[in-house]
Amino acid sequence: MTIAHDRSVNEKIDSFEKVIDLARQKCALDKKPKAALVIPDEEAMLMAFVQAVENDLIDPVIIGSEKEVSRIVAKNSSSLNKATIVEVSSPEQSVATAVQMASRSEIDLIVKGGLATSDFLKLVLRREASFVPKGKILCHIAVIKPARYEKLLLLTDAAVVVQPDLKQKLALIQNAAGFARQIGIVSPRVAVLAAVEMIYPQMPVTTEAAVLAKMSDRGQIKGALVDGPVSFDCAIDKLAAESKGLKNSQVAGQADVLLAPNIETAGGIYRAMALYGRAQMGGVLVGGKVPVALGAHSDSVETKFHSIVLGTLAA
Amino acid sequence: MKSSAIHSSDQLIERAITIAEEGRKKTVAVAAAQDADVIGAVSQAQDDGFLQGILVGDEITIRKLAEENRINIDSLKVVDIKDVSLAAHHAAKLASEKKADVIMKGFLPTSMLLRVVLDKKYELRAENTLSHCAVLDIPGYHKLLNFTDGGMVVRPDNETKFQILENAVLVSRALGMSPVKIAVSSAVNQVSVKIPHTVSDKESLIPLAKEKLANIVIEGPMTLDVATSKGAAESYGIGGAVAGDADIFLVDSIEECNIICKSLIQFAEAVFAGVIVGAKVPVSLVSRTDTIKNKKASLAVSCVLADYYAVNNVWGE
Repeated sequence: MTIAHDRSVNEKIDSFEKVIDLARQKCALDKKPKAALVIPDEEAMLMAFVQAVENDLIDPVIIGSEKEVSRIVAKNSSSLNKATIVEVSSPEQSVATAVQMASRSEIDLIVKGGLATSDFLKLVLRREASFVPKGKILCHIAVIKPARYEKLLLLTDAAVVVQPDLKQKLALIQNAAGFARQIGIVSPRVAVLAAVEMIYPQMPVTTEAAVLAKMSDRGQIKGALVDGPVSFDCAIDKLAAESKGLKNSQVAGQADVLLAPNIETAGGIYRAMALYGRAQMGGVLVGGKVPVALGAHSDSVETKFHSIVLGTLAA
Repeated sequence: MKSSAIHSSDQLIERAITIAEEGRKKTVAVAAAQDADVIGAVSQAQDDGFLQGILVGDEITIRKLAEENRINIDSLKVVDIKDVSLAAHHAAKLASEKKADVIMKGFLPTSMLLRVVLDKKYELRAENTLSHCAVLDIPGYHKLLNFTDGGMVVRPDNETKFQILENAVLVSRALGMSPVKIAVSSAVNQVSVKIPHTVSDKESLIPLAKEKLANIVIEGPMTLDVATSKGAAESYGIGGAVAGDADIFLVDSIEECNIICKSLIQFAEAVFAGVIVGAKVPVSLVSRTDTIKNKKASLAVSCVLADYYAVNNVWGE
């Protein structure tokens, strides 16, 4: 047990292969997380879910209408015959049931199937759902391994918080840093992205980034090193960082986490990488009672499998 | 003109060369040219045959930098003006007297150069605000994608956003696009009250563009994957002429544009050609961290745009 533990602490988690290994080790130490697939009619996520069951990474729960659940279980009988089935009559009820089960600790992870992310979010963010504990913030964290970067990059927030204010940015950093630790990145370097590296009063993104960096300098942000404003190239390219005078930054050129100024920017990076970055990807929602594994409609089975693996580590 | 559409950065550079070979070689006046990267880029482009460079700046420093960096500037004109502001004024004067077709930024702040370019006495000012277009050649996308504005306007209001679009349409027309297909960016593919610009884009920007701009197709809100991939568009059930085939990606903030473009340049090996549009001459700027190809493509897009202005008498003089 200690050997496995030491390995996970000492080895740098810089690829999805290592993330999957880490998830396997966690399963070996702990009991497998119970993962509930909500509305199983989306083909790519269903295949990813079956793959996770076959890899012994999750204990499956399926929440959906009687008709679709029985069709899906029959089709994948060898993997899903032991799945716990919860029959419901509507998509709204599927999500509500998953949230209730999470509150009662009956499941450890929600896997979003065939429901638009925006509709899913509306349901889990309803106050009466109490899915997000008081004082917490729900956010999306994408994990990206571009072919041309030597480690994993976490990106927030491409799905939930539209235009974070300073307080929300702090919460996003804390969520991301906590999640980074769960996937084995111990003291993540967080780049607060902007269009430039200098601070201009007429660009509020740069002034807020500077505040976050100074808070980090003063030790007000635990468990992460934060710097900003940083442009995208300076965040991930040491030469660019040096040529722009960011030589002494502990973050520039080697970022683990990218905090985007708004949802369009994070969404744009996510989609640019998925289509053109020859990148491996995955994404989760954190900050709720349990993590949620999810993907965009156009994402591949591999991406969705990664999302589930990431979800098991956050569970 | 449809057959002459430019779909890659190589074609862009070839077009600039063709224009020169047809007897319309463009002259680029560099303001405060004492910058090794700028001198190198202009010298290379001149060797490629697509422009004539005039280096306005501190001649002693220019010659020293050229020698240190082994750049041959024998065929470039040098105008010795030490003061950077005076050098900018001289470059603008050359443009206003039609002795230069493009102004390029050298060793001075962008804001200083643009203030001079907009000085009324040079009559280079047009009606629109100045905005930046980043024309990207993304491996995997079948055409050039013109991102705007990631360099000038921090957060445009409706009117400014329309002007930015109008500027970008000029660039895409110069690249031979017909009709110009415009995707109005958002994080989602539906109008959402939680994302206010999706509402104003749909209710005012898109109708205004349809009313005022000829030979365009504009759709949105649209995410980057839907705008550039038919497969992604289909998976969301989105059709139309723009989805999967966009020429312009119009964004809502400087950060969105700048950061997405840089992610594509850094991780998708996109070649980038940048130009400041809105004045009667294109303003070109290159950054130290740009590759040689990026620098050449940036100068080429300015020359192709300047040629479009001249051939079509865009500013009506």
